[in-house]
Amino acid sequence: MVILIPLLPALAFAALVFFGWQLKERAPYVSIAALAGSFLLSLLAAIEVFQGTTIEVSAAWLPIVAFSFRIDLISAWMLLLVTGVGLMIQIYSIGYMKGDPRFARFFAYLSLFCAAMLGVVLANNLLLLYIFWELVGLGSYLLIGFWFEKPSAAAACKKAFIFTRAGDIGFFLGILLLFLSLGAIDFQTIFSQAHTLSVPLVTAITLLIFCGAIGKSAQFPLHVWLPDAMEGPTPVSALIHAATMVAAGVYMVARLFPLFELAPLTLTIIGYLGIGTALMACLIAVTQTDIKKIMAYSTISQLGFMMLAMGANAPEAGMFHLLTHGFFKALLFLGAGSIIHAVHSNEMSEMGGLAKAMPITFATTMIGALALTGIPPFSGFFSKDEILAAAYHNLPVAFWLAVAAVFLTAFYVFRMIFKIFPGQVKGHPHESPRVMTVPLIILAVFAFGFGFFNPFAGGHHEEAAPLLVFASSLGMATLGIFTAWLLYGAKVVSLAGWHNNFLYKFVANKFYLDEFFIYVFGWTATAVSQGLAIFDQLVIDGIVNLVGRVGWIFAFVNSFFDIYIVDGLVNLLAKISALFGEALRRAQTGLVQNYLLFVVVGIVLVLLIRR
Amino acid sequence: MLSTIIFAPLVGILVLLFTPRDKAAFIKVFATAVSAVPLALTGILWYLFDRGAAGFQFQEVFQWLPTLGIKYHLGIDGISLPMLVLTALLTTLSLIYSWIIKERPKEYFILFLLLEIGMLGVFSALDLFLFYIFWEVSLVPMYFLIGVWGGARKEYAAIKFFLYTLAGSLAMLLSILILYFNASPHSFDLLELSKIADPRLGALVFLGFFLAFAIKVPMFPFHTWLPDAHVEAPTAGSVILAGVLLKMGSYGFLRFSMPLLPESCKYFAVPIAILALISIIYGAFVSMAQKDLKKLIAYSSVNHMGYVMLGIAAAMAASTNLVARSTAVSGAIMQMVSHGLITGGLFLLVGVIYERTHTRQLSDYGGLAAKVPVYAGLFSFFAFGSLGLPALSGFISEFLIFVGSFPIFPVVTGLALLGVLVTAALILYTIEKMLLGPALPKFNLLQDADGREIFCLAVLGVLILFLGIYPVPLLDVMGKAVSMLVGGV
Repeated sequence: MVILIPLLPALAFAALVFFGWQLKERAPYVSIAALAGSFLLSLLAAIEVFQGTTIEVSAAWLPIVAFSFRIDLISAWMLLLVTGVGLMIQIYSIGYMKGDPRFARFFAYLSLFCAAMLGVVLANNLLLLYIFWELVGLGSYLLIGFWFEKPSAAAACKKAFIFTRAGDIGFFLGILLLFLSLGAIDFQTIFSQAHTLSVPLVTAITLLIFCGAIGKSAQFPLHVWLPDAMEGPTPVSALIHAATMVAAGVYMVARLFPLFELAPLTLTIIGYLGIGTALMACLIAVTQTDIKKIMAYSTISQLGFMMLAMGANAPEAGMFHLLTHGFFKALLFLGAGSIIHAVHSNEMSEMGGLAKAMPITFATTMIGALALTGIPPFSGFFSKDEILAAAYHNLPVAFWLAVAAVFLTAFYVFRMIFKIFPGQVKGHPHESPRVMTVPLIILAVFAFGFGFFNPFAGGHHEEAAPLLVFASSLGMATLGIFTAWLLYGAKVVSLAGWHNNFLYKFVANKFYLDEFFIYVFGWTATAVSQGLAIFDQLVIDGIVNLVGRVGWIFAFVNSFFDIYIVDGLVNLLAKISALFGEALRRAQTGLVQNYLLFVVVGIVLVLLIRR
Repeated sequence: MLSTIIFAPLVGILVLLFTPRDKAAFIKVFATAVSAVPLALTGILWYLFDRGAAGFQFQEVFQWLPTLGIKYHLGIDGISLPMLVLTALLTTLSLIYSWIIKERPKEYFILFLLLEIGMLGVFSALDLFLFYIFWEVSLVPMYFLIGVWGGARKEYAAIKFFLYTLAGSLAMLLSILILYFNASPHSFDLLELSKIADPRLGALVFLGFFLAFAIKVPMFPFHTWLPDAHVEAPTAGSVILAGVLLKMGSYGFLRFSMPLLPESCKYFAVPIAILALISIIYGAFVSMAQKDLKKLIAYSSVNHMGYVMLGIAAAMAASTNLVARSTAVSGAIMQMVSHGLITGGLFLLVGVIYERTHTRQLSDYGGLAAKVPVYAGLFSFFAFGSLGLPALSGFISEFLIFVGSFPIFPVVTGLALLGVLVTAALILYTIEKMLLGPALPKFNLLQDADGREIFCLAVLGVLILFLGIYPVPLLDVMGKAVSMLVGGV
């Protein structure tokens, strides 16, 4: 039964790839039915798990590792998140993708992605995790590049795949090192045996494995693919690049936490990398004008917060935030999609006054924004507060950086809100159809209320949050909203001229990281590739051709020798005999008298000699 | 049984010789039907093969030239059986694809069947003399296939292919003769020769074999015949070249170098691993710079066969880690099968688009996914197979190679992983250039893949997917042979 959870969407994918062109508008029914089935099965499994059991299924597979799935508390919640949010997004997509020439194909890819993502969640060993991890990347690739006629989309999907794969090289190497050290890569053996390994070795292994999370969860410096990935249709951004796939890195660390726990240095690095990424992404988000790009940087920074939780030894807090973020960020993206659907642009300058024109989108987006900002009692507040508390106890410097990030988060979110919702309506936007607004409302319910209920409460890592944490986070969030209101709502402070600032340009250009990768790695790779190709042609093949040429010359000399010396000698002999022949020929006159004369002369000579 | 498999195409050749050349349709169908006989029989072999038995099965031994100690000795184990099936399968698919051949079909199909005899013989011969004969038999038809049905520079490519391989063959012949005179009584029989643990002049013998096999694989720096041969060869020729002929090289290492020369193998394992690493990285980078699609895939073959050689080098190494070594060599064998299926498919796909557009330049393509979606889907499938995507066969084989090689050559294996990244960049770049981007008006009338093409590719695709998800049947077949090979070194 467990195997059906990822298998149903996988079958839907196969069915839609082969028969989608016949189904056309009915295609979503297949994929939605399959995912609904997965959701129900996940629910049944989760109910069982919540009663305190763990579900495991296993089958013989490769000689070194079995095919094995496991549902425990965190994977049960992940299953519900993926199938639940996935279901909302598929329903929403019926409206959003209406009229697209490859409508059925879109749902096929979504199903493929869901199947792979459920595999990531269920995997009970590192090889299976890695396999589904890569397949999730394939789903992401296909969906980012869904509108591949646009060169920017074609480039973005390639970039996403290569950058995540760069991280995966480290991940894979970590798996190899772990397998070499323990002789096994199933989670149970790892957790029970890992303490026998030396700390430096575990540190190396965990850092390598974490490289995979840096790529997938868009942490510095491999985060640059995620903003470009916004080229994909907005439901894709909501599902893959906000709620589920990008969170896989966080989930992976949480899953392997008994291993990561053994390497304090790794945890510290993860924590600081997380908060560093969060701050950087917040800063960039402040400078963006495209609402999907703002959401993308927001996602990067929230993933940084989750990583901070891992680094602060509080995986439960990180997972809690992963779930709340999954709901409120999917909501925000779908809200953005609803706006884009109405306005036909991503740029905030094209928007304004949307609160009146699109009331449901406005209300639900506000809920998402408040949850993201961390205003109580919205869900994001509770999970973020837990992370801050853990950081306060375990990584004090990171805590203060996180407080700064809370301010920036509130500021960039409400900068967006104040720019697009109040004021005069531009153009004639109208509210999206019900197939899109109903998922918004359902997600909004969760984004609002999910925080009251922490599924991982009572974990052994939990520590009480002091008042200081609560006060500083709430104070900073309020201050951020107030600042945004001053600048963009009431417009009492003007920012004219600010955009020429060197610092502003540096941030707005994303710290020039894209340029760094293009010029340093891209150009190097191209130069090496071109250089080696020339080397191959001129030197390696040149030597081969030279050998061939030398052989040819040798053959030529040989044939010269053959013609003029060997054959020449033969011909010389022939010439000599021909000369004789020529001389003798003259004797053959054909006259009988001459022959008789020769005979007579001959006889006379013989007689003379004999005597 | 084995003789029937190998010489079944000979019957077809004889019939075709007496068929009037204007009956092209009959020739094509008949040749394909004949090639289906070895395919069916190897399928039966796969079923009858005893997975638990050590040593060679279905052996056939006749004294051939007893005064010289030459025997007609055939037999297969878990290493050669997958190669036989692969050969028979790719030959039949190539012949089905070749129905479009218009120029001299009679000679074409006769040569193709002759080629099949040589290849099947190479993978079944257990007598070195017999092996050498089959090795050369496979060389000649390919020379003509390139030289007659090839592209613009076909003569150059054909002669280069022939002479380069022949140079290697001669070195191998020398090695075979040294082994022959080492044995008393003199013998060419693999089973007899492998009883001599450390033959005299072992290193020299090893290098002779190495030259022949490394050229065939091909390993850096002996690879430059390959791109030329591929570019000029007809599509089906490229399929067989990449799918089967290259495997004859790596098969040679497994079948002869390792059992016959265990000491030299240990000695040369590290240099071979380093050459394999260079092939991996170098092949991927040079591939990325190519403008001609066939050259690009040819260089990616250098990269993929590099993984095979890395696995073989790990198996050769002087290590007591038997699990690692057998894992590495299982991966190598599986990679041989997998590369045959994937790259065979890719060359078919290049043929399909070349038939329609008469160009192979990457820069001439673009936006094909919008115009020929079925073709684009198939191309992406095989390209992702080449990239090593999980759930496709290439991933499992590369994974086994890496897991097996890592304990033995940690640094080399770690660096080889970088090749995976370069390969990914290369494949995605190719997909972007060919399939993605705005649809070009010049391709408005382009026909999508037809039923015959889809059939050939679907057969390969199903196998790639099956092996990628459930490789157990293949690993089971080779299991015993692999542990013998590793235990015996």
